[in-house]
Amino acid sequence: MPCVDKKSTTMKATLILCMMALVALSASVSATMAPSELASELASMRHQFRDAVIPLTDDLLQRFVVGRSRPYAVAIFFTAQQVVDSNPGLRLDDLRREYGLAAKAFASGPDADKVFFFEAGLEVSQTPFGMLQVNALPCVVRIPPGLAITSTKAPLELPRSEKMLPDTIGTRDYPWPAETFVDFIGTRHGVTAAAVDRPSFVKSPMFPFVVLGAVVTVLYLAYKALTTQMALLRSPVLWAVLSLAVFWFSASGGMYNIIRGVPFFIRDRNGKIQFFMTGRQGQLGAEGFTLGTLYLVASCGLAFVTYLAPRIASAPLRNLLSLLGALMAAGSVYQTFTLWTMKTGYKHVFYF
Amino acid sequence: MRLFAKLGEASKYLALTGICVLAFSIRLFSVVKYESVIHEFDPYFNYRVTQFLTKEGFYEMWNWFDDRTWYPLGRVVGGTVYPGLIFTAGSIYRILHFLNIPIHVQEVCVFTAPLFSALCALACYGLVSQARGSGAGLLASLFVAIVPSYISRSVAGSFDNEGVAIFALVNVFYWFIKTVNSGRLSDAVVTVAAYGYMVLSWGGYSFIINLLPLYCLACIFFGRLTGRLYVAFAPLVAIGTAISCSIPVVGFNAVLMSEHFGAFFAFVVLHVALLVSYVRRMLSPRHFYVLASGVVAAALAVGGLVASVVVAYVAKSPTLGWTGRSMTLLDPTYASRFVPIIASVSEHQPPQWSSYLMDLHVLVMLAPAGILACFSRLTDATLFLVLYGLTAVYFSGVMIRLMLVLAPAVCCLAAVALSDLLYVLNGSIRSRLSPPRPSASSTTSTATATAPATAAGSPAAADGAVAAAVSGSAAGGKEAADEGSSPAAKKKPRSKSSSKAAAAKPLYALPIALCIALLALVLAVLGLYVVHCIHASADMYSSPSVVLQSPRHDGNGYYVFDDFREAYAWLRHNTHPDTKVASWWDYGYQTTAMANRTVIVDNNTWNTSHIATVGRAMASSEAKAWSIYRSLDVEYVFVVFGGLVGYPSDDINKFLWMVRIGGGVYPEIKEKDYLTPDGDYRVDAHGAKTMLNSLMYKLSYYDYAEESQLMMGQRGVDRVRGYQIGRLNVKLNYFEEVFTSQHWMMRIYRVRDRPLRDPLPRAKKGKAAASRRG
Repeated sequence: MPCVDKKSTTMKATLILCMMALVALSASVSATMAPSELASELASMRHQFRDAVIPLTDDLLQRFVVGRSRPYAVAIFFTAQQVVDSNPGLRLDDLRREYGLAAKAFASGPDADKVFFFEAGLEVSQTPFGMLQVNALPCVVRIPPGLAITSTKAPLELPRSEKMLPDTIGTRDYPWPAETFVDFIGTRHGVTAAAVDRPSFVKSPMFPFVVLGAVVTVLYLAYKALTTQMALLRSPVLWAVLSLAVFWFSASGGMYNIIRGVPFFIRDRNGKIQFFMTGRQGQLGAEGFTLGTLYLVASCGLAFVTYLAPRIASAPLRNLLSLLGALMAAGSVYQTFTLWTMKTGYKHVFYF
Repeated sequence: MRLFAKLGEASKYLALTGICVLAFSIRLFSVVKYESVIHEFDPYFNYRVTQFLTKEGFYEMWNWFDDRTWYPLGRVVGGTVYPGLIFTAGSIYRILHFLNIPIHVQEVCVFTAPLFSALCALACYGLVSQARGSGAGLLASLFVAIVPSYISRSVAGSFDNEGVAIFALVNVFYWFIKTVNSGRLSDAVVTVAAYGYMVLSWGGYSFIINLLPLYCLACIFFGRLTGRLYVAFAPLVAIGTAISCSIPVVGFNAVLMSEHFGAFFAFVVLHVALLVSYVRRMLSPRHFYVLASGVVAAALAVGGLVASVVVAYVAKSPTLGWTGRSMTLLDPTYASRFVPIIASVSEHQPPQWSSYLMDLHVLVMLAPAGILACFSRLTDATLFLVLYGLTAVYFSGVMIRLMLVLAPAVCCLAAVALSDLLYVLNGSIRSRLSPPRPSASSTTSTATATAPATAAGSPAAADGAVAAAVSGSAAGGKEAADEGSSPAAKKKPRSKSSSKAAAAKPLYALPIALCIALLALVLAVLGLYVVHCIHASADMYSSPSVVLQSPRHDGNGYYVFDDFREAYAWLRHNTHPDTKVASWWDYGYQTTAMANRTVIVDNNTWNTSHIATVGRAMASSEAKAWSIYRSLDVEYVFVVFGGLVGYPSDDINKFLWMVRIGGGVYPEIKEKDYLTPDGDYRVDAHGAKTMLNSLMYKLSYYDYAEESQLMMGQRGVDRVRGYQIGRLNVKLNYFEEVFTSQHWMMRIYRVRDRPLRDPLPRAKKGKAAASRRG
């Protein structure tokens, strides 16, 4: 029996050795694996992601991109979370969505295996950024099938015509729609894609029901409004709240935020969230809305003291609440002026 | 008691007089600190036209074709200018001269805007007293008299349309609300006349012609449709439109442009609503119900049919029926993002939150309380105040310039809120200090009509307290009777019922310490407001920007920079009267007014391609710019340069806009050619080559290295940009420096008849010659 034991141990060892050798072989050979296998592996990998865009890691880069040639073209979308957060004006999220739509269009098209879509995040790996010398976003590149790539370390010179940059594509219809991606990555090179299928609410099966519901609700509200002499719609409270909302939005510089594409907050170099930017130039969304809220608090405090507090019958409650209202108003007036000084350095100048 | 009432009345007029004097005099800082001079850019054009008017007469001005500007196109002044301001100043000049007061036309122009701000304070008083009583009116007029936003455009010397237009705006609103309250036809006539003056004065009349229909629709919606509203609104639309059509600059735009359609729509709706209410009165409820259902069903059917046709038509067109123009209506941010010539003007930028505090100070914090105050006792007039405030605050968010329209609205709202608060506080203090009296005395005087301290007051006393403390009309009751127009005087059934509802809840006095503390707070905040306004007027908005000051380092007095007038005077005295002078468009009006020379482009930016040509020349190389200028017959070119004294709004800082506007018409000009690879705009050694080769750079920095060496000891350091410039040795072959002002803020060059012998190699020379020919 010990003999058998020994035999089985050696068999196990050989098996393990064989397997290790196989794994090593497959790893080393994978680059030179049959091209169709690479493509089909990528295709199956692609199915794991909702929009058919594969996150690019060093490993994937080594396996599927490096090589003398590939049977497929590779598209890489470069992104970095920090840039997305701090530069909403670039609208990288929108761009990424359109890129995903283009990827899906190719994946479901006739030439699904001729082009694959990747996304390189700076957080995941910096190798692709170094390899393609990407130092500004947005950047999307197409690596043609015939281009030889020797190593991930060596910088790769792509012609400008294979890079989607604001310079090459133009910023007229930025963020570039999926159709632009399809044209740039596929159609120019004879690779056809299915029509871009934009998910839209109109296409969802729920849509008719929602429309029906909305129509019924509107009709019901209209009926209610007409039969009750529009008491609800004419209620001053409703309109007062709406008016305050409009005032709040405008006086906080909400339009400035929209026109200039100002972020709500930014991250400083240490990654800490900043809500307030000192200095006259520019504002952040958060600081404007803080100020708008302070105006409303001051006003509501005063309005409470003026209109509601005198109607409270109980003397202690009335005194307490009116005091609270007054304190709220005074506090927010004071806070407003403090923030204003902090922002612009303005101080009231007394001439006496 | 009658004596007190009379004293009260007299003190009101005294206060109004004082406010008018204040409004006028707070705007004189610019004259006291600088001199009586016309400010900035646009006022110079208005001044020039006014001069023409006083010399040649009204009809000559109306038909004036100005060949001194937009060479070689010229400009029809009478048909492209809102003449209200010019007519006003011209009339004042004529009247003064008729009275044998020999005043120069420039003085009339300088003091027109302060005069009209005093009038605006009066109009604001009228508007708010129509809405709330004269106490609130006085506060509103005080606020508007010194509000910084309005001061910024109406200091003495700021001879611009806004100076009279804000008065005209509030004046229209005052007469409109007065008509709505009184229903008198005579008031309606004045409303239409006031509207005519407004259209004559400012393009901002389109705000009125949209706000008033909106108000009309809101009144119909809230069930406030009355004959008085019709009397106020219908003549305004019908006759007001006819008046606007007869003003050349508006012309048929008044019926063709979409921004006027709201008025016609509201006009139709008003008639339909009146018809419906008439039919309802004529028929029994049952018959009316049958008729209404029939009409509504028919309307729905027809409407559905029309809607489906429209939908089908829109769906067939490729862009879904939306043109760029309709996008600008729906999306107010469109123009400021995509039209560079609009986006380049600093007053077209959206304001940040700090601008609201700077321009309106504490009022912006009180205005929401004013909105609540208006809703707490909704009348026709307070509804209007709310709508005015909301639309103005929305549009001011898009363009900082419209802050000017917002300022009176915020003043009125804040005044309503503050006056209500003061009534409550003072009423509480009075009732705490004086023992409660029997209710019968509550109607005899304002002093006794205060809030009862206890809940034991009879319903009548409580009602009096409502009137005293909350409605704020205790003091205003008398004026209401005097004017006979306030809505309080003609209580409608609705307001009665609401006051009954209020009477069901008696009012109680607030604790006295709190009242005193709040009064102190209000006084302190108002004090800060006054201090801020004086500071704003004295230090921030008084600079004429034609003459600049900067305090000396040792604290004694000021340096005065009078370079602009120096250079314009040089042009006037040393060039032929028919000389054509080129510069960026900002200085066009000043050049024609002060130097009296023909310019290529000016501040009336009606022809983008012409401006783009000048921008292209400034952005091109010297040789190419020379050929462009020669083709336009330009003999002199000047640039404004701030590098030596640190004046930041010079042409180098405006240059990117020249590139953008030039690039909008001539695609060969690309903004990125003028930026560093990192996208920065610099003129130092890292700056883009095209930039350092452009005419603008050369004209600005010609011989600058030596001068800065002499002045500051540092060779070629620019004090605005704060670094050494990229090319120190600038040579000019096609232009010749003829004049540079004392502080180098304005540099004038002559376009040579033929270039100096070209130092370039032969091959390049051939190219340059080819491009010159092209």
